[in-house]
Amino acid sequence: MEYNNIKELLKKYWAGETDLQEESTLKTYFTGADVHPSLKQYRALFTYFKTAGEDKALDSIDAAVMDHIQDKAVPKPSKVRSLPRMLQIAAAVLILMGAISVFWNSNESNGNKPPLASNESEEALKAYQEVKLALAMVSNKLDSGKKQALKGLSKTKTISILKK
Amino acid sequence: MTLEVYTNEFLSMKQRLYRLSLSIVRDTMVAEDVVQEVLIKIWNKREDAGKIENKPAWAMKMTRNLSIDKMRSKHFKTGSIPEGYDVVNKTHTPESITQSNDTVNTIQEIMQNLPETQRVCIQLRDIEEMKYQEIADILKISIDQVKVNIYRARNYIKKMYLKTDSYGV
Repeated sequence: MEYNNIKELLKKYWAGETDLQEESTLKTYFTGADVHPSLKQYRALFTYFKTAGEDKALDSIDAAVMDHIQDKAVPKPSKVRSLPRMLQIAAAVLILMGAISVFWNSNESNGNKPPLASNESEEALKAYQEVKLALAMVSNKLDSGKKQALKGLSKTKTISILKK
Repeated sequence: MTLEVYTNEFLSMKQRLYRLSLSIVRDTMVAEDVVQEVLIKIWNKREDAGKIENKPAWAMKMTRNLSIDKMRSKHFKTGSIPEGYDVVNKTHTPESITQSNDTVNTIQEIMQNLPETQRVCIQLRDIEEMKYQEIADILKISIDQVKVNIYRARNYIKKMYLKTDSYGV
């Protein structure tokens, strides 16, 4: 009974009409102990199909893949870094264009406008004096601060000498 | 896609990917390289990979494409007799012990004489036990074409196998 069944399945198999269940039945039959003598010739073939699907140690692949994953475990930085690459270029271009336009404008205005009027130069002189005054004041304050600090320092020195 | 999903969905497929690649490149070292490359590629594309519906078919497709690329690359040397295919030799099930190496080699040689599409069809159907639809997805051909390829491959294998059968078994 089983023999006829298997023979029928085998016929279907060669015709390419078996489903996965039937193919599995064939594999089980041919790798089993009781194969009909007239069918023994197919034994090796189905055994091959069965064993060729068995696993092989592929630990090196695991290791390599895991190494890679751990190296790049932080997914964002690489993206963050690669994305602004375009922005960087865009920014550089914008800055360059800005610089060129400013340069161009100042060149144009220098060329078109008459030399500084006398009242303008007076104003500039006034501003210069004011800045000079302000800087002198700042320098004065800094100087007095320094003196104060030196005084304090000499005091601590005398104290430490007295302590000895 | 988290590491857990990646491990469960893709890393767990490495055996199947390896066997598929091996059936194409016929060299264990190259097949291992292919699988490693594919798995790393998938991890790098994990944002997209998470959205793929049929993940196994997608990974298989990538593996096949990369295997074919490797075959075509100039640096790839093909030996006349493939030293690969130690899948069978390394397993120690009772069946494989009773099966002589000669028989295995004979079957492998027959398989390797098949055109690539037929060979992959047989690999995916008779060894990996995949559905016609899945095979069609991987190979980007119709189900009918898959069936025709399997039909032709089986008949070629049967014919050649019975020819050598006298000393094979």
